Amino acid sequence: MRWPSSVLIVLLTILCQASFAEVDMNLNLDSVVAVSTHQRESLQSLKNRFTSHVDYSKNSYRITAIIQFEHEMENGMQAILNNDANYTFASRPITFGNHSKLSVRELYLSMPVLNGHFLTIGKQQVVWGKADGVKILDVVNPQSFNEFTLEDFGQSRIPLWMVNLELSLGDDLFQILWIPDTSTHQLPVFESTYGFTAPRFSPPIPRDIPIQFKENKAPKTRFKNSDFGLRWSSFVGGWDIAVNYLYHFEDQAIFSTELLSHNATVLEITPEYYRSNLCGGSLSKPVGNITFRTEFAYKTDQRHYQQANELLVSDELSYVVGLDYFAWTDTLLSVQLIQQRLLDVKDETLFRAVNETSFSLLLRRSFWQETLTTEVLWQQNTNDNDGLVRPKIQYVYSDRLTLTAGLDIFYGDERGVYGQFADLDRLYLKARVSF
Amino acid sequence: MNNLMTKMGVLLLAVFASSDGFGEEEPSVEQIIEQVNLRDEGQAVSRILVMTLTDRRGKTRVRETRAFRKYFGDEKRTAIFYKKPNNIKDTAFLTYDYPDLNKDDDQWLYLPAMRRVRRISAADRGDYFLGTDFSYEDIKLETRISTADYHHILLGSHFIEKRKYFVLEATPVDDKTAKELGYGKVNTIIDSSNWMITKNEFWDPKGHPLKTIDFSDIRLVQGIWTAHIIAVDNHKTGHKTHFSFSDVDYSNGVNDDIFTTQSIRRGL
Repeated sequence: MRWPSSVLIVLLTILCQASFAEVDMNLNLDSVVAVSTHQRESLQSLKNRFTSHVDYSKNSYRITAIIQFEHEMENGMQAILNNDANYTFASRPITFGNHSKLSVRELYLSMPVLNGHFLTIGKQQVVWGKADGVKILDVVNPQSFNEFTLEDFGQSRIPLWMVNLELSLGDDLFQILWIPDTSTHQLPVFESTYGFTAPRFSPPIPRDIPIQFKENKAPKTRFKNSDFGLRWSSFVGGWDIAVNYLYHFEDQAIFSTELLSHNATVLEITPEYYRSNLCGGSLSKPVGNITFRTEFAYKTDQRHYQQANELLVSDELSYVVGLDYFAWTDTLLSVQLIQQRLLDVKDETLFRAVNETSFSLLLRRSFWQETLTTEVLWQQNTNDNDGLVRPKIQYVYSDRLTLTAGLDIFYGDERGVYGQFADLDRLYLKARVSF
Repeated sequence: MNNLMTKMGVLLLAVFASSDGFGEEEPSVEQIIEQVNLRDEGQAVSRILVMTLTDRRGKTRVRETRAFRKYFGDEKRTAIFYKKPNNIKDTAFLTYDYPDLNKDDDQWLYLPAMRRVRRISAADRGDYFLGTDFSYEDIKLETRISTADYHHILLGSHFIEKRKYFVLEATPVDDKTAKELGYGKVNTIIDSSNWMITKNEFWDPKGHPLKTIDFSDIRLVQGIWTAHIIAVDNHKTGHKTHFSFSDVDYSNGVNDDIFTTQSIRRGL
């Protein structure tokens, strides 16, 4: 934390000396209570999050600082408990006991450079792709899975220290990313509420052998371990087009296992990370009432667990095809087909299907000049016949207060991505107070 | 007979007080619409727009935005950036409005919670624009009159403080268009001294009164007639929208880069 704090102080000092700097500060307090609809000990989460978003601007230069303090009152979610090995030193939040943390979520300087180009340098989020609720191209930043995928991506995405240069050449925009920050996905500890139990996320572990976790072998912060990204985007013939390339460490840890027999037999588990190349692209265009959008990615060297406690390495092709249908007043009906294919693999000992197919359906309608919004999101995996249904209602009581209530209903086979949480349905209430 | 005399009186008054450039001759509907649509609105404009939304119980929500509009040839591009309040800050809207009537406009919306620019269909032009009582089509037209969507007739004219006002009635060209727009009839009052629209009255496709839009505080800014207040009264819902424009600037130009998806993502 010492490094980001120092950067923050230097940046603030520079800007405070700028007598004509414009300061814009926004504060939000989010309170969430979630209760399990299955279990007797029903309180699942009770959380307060205070976020300060400050923009200091002078001429075309701007420094953005988003600082967040979070307090989780419940043990079950274990959002904070000893669970920050995924962060690099520069990105790691400060924790207070087991339930509170203070983090510099984002801290960056953005400014025009050369003639009409733009540079953003610092801790930030970069979002690629056109898909909703599915990450095919949106992999520049790692993600926290402490609440599975139930949290908004804007919050669950882990911002990274990077240099983000955008070059405008006519209608074309070229983006170049250098990401020295090697933070990875934050996975929930096994005992926590949304700890992963589906076999695809971990190697087979014998029940009667003690487990010993070795140090996380996350890549160190070195130039050679940096991620690099390129993106070209344009608007051609009514189409929004983008082509993406990312050379990166996969943020999902692969757990290698080794049986050690000294005084007693122990299964040693080591989280490891591997390089991958991602080439992909996205397209979108409205045709009448329907907006067509798609994104796809070819990823090399993906690793998957097999039943024989071995890893299968293969390339993977993933894509999403989505249609947004604006048929009725203030109503959106959105459907997505998602497929993930392992290439040149005919292996039936995998814990996942070689060709995975899933779909999502979103129906959203707003009322009363968009002060009341209702929606239902349904995500279904057709291979495991499991899924998630998320009805939600949101009321903007005033500009200062927004209230949200919703249900997260999991179903299906416990070996599935959603089915593993089939007994963790929950009802939640959220309140956001803005200052 | 009395009625006839009154009408003749109005006609005489209209002829003598005429300041619309047509002299004694009453202009045709087409000429009136042409005058409105040819009125100079500047090649580019930047302005602060404060939107006040009031529900029927009197509860208000206020949005402060920066709005930009620029012509690229015949193509009109508009960008609106939300600055306040906190719960909607950094939302931004971009539209490319093409002169070819057969070509749908292109529209993008940036929602900061998603951190993504979303392409939205421009076909549902009768939808209300971001919680206001304006439809997307109203926002697009600003103070212009659509000849593609409506048949127009001249209902008459009248004088207020020696100014002559024309009243046009517009009916959608067909039921499909009426349904798309959400309007069954529109009456428009036009000030012939500057060819500014001063009032629009809307009826829904079933003939029920829908809403009224009043344009006021109309004054010259850098030689261009500009309405500084636009107020909508929605008769169906009791909701009201009040647009107040300030810092209107036609002379300093607007950078082309404002009208890009990366600009609405980054914000001002």
